[in-house]
Amino acid sequence: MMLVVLAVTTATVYLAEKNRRTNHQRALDAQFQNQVQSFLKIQEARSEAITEKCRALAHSVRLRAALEERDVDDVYRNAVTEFGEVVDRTGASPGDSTPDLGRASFFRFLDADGGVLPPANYPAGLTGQPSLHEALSTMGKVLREDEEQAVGYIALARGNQPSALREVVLTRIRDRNGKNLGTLVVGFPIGHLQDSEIDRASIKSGIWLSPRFYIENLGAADRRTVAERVALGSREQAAGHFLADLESGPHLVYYKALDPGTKFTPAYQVCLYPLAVSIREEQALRWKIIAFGLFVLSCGFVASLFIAKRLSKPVEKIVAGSVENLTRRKQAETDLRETNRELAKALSELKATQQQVIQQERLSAIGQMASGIAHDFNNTLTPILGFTELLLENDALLEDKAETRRCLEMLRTSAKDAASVVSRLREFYRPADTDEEFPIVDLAKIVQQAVSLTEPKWRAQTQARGLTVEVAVELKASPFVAGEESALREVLTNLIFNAVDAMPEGGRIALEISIEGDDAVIHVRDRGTGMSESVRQRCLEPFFSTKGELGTGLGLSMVHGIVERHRGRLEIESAAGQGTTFTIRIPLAESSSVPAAAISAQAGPASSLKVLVVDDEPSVLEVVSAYLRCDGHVVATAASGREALEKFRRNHFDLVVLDRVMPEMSGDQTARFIRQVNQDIPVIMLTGFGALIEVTGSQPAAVDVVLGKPVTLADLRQTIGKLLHAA
Amino acid sequence: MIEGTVQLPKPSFDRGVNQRYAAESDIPLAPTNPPAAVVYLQGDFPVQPNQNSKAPAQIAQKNIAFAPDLLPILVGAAVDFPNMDDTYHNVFSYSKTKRFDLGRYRKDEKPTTVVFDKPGAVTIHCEIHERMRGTILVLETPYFKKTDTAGRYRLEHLPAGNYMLKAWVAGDDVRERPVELKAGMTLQVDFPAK
Repeated sequence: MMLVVLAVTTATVYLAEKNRRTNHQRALDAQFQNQVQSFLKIQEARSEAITEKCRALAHSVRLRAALEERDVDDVYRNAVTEFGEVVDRTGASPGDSTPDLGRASFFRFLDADGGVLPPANYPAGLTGQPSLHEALSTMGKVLREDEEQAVGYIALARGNQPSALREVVLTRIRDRNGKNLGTLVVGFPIGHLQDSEIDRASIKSGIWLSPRFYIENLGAADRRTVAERVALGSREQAAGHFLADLESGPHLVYYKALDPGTKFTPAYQVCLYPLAVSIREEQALRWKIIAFGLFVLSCGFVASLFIAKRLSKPVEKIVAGSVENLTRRKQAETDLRETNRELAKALSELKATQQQVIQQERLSAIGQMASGIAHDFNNTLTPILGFTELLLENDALLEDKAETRRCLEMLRTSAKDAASVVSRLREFYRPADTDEEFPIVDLAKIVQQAVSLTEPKWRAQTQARGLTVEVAVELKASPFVAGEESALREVLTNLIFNAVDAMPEGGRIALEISIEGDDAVIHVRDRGTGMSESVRQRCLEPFFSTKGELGTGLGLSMVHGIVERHRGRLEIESAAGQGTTFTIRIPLAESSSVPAAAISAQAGPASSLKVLVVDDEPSVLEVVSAYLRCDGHVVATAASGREALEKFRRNHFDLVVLDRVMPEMSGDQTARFIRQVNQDIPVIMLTGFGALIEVTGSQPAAVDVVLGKPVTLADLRQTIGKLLHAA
Repeated sequence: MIEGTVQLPKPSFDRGVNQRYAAESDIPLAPTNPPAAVVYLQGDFPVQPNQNSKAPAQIAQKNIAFAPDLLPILVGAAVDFPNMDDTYHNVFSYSKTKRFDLGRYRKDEKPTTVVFDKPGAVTIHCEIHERMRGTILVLETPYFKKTDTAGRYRLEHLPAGNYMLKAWVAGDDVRERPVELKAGMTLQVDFPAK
């Protein structure tokens, strides 16, 4: 532990120092760059100020004419008027420590060959300096013919102060054809580096102009040392730094070329950063880090002591802990059970919501379906109307009993078709989870019936087209299921029709009945065109059809609805070109189930009853009355709820059959009033929306049975039998 | 009589060369005057006094250029500098032969006539228009002729004798050929480029 802490501390100290050194170097470098930048900025500002002047001067026709004529007098006379304000006329001599940086200290003209044109008595600055002209003509000769402007440095005095130096800006003057007429030379004093952020007392800067180092306040030996080192470095690179051990202490020295690219005497900006301060800082930091390391070490020591103590706590504590654990576990179990209950509740709520959503979805389809139904319904009404009118208009026809019967048969067929059209609604609006009591039915028999019923389609129609469709039934078992015979027949009929349609070339349809586990299984297999995956996924949707105008898109969705209603499953296996296999699985009937259908079937016509029939529609009134009378009942009729109540109050009735939708007083209200008079009277309600009542759960409380229109004699008979039987 | 051809330098176009000084770029630049040279017979000829009484020669400023931009005159002759442009001009010379400065003047102001009393070449400038440049060649001989733009010249009514025939092309380009003139004889002297 201690070793680790020690190692970490050492590493931290090492890294921190390394980091610190790098940072320091980087900071110094940045500082130096800033200083050089500010130095160059001064230069730039100055040259900007004089560039305009130089340009104006070089542009001056008079000056150029004078240069052309080599008339020195004219040259300077013209220049003085332009340059008077730029040149420092105070006559500050080189070596003066307070030069005016904004002003030039001299200007001169060089002729085309680089020779200095002497200014005679004109105030061109520093006129008493013989070394100046020598230096300038050296520069003028170095300046290349094609150079327009260049900056160089010259030393005027013997001293080692930067004020002995001058920055020189050379500007070429050309005639209108580009011919070199001469050069304008302007000299500036050199300023101090300015940077307020730097401790100016400790940081020194100066200029190295080969071979000397011009700097203030630095010993001769140090100056020589730096000059030698910079001279060495300047041969290789334009900028760099080195560590110098000077008499005044260790220094980091940065240097950077001021006029790279010219052939003038090399000049470098040089900065000396004393390292004494930084070394002190470094030491202080080291102590800080070591102190921190010790602190971490002692913390670690204390922590290890604490942990050791914790570990040696008595074992009883652990035992006590385990008892506590047990309690906690029980608590957790209870919590878990509670959560589970909540989850189950949430799940059931979710299921209910899902059911609601599905119902709503179904209801929303009614609008769409209504138009389809209306179309089919009108189709079936046409023969009904036609035959009825035929019979009513033609007395001779009525005489012919055989012909009349034929017409009536056709009327019944059409009417039944119409009823079946409407009954399709049922399959949609009857939810799957309704607790329907189904009779036990023989599945094999239903299959056989369906095959026979569809025979006209698969045999007659296909033969007419010269095809052969064969339907084979294989009975591997004879299962009984709880179900509605007609609905199941419709399922099979639909599937057989689909199979026939799926085999435009003819073929074989195989029906197979078997038992798998607790399910009765019916396979309907064809070798037809099959379905693509996308069609297979959508084939159960209402109104989805691949038969175009010929299909309603309702067949398979009805099949699905019916199978669901029987708590069964519909499986579809299909591939395009491979044919389709529908598999229906319906739970087997429990052996204890009583075949309810048998009872109702045997009920037969009951004893004579007094029945009150209420409907605002005379035709319905008439038909229902006729049915009842046919069974030997005594019938009284009422065309409205009001009339029904009056009759009910005055007479005794055994049964009331009433319409739901009536003007003035609805069937619901009428039933309620009737029940107020006689609580035990059975009430059968007829409605065109029979199925809807079940769906919306609004079966009137005062009604025993709701029968959907159209009512058949058998329906009515069976219902009456059931009601009285129950009573 | 002498006739011949002086091979002239190719005309120079200053357009573009001095563009860094092109402060007056808005003034349309007329094409530079075609080059020409002056051929003259050097010798010791008696001065004809009636020469000076002639009307002064003229160098006009027209389309920001001197017209003509090369004018040979006999020493002692006077030259007028009328301004034909709608802008100011300021004709001056720093030449040692003749220093003068006419100051600024406009079209309707008549500048002083300048008398050239020393022989030599005088380069004239306009202070305002840097591209204007002209030369007045002040000669001590009455026998001179300016060539046409192709460099052809013809000098007539010359005295017989041995002389030096000179062709002034530019300040730094003066060509010379010794000639021996005889009365009634036509001499063919060409000055090829140096």
